[in-house]
Amino acid sequence: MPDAGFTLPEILIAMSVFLLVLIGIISANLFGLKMFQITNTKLNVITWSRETSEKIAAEVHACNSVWVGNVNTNGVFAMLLDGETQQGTGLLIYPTTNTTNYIIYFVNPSDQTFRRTTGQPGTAEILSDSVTNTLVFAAQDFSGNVLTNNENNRVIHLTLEFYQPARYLLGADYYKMETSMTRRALQ
Amino acid sequence: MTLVEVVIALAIAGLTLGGIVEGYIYSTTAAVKAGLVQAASARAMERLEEARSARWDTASWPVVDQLAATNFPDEVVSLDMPGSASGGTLATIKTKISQISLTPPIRDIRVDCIWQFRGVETITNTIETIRAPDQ
Repeated sequence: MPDAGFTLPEILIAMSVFLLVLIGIISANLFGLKMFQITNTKLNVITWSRETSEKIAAEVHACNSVWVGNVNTNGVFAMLLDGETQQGTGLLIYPTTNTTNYIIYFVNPSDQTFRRTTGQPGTAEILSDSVTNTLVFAAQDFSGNVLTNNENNRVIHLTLEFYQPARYLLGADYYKMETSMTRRALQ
Repeated sequence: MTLVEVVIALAIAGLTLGGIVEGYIYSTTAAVKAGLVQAASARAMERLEEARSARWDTASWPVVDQLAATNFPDEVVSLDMPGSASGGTLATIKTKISQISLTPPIRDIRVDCIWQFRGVETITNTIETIRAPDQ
């Protein structure tokens, strides 16, 4: 009775074909997962760096004064003095002449986060993580030379370097963004 | 089910999987490109801000004028870090400064950041602004 069922070779061939298709689907799925993670990481970093630089640029453009300095482990900002190379982990922005009203951007090397805080309590926020460089801010002249004084018409240079270590199925990835901003109201 | 039917079904399944994989590759490539576009735009903005900070003071004597094209030569910069997915992309920043008007004195600043995506596609990010003295 030829119509009664499948022969052993037919079943074996059908299973082999099914297995091949299944392997193809699983491989494509794993590949897609890997690509998704790469894309996700990249887009996260792009978003962080764009939002961060836009925020800083807007505040520096409109501010009354801006200072490059370092934030110590106690969270205290120490501005760089004349004679010191104007490169540091933090940036202090005074939007007005009122020095109790301020904004500080800084890198916390212990957890590699880039943070923003203000004079108002409870306003600290993490803008991005995986930031590997510590000298994020520099005051430069119009030619891009790092200054050693608090020259009036200086350019604030921002460098953000991101590093994501290798994970399952993924190699390490790096991203760097550099930009500058100048205070508009030069006095 | 004949052998021909099985082969055709497998071919269709293969094409479908190929399309899905191609889509994933495209989206990842697009993300890498978007990152480089943003880095290039930030670099162009960097040069623009430098040009804005250059002193151009027509009220002083002698007149101070740092806003000249010779002060902003072409510069080759890196858009990302070596070892990144995009493999260390270099860009050339070109600055063009032109006088729009003498009275009132206004100049146009145009910054082009020219780079190649994976050595194939040439992309230019351009930012342009105008400024007056003491701004």
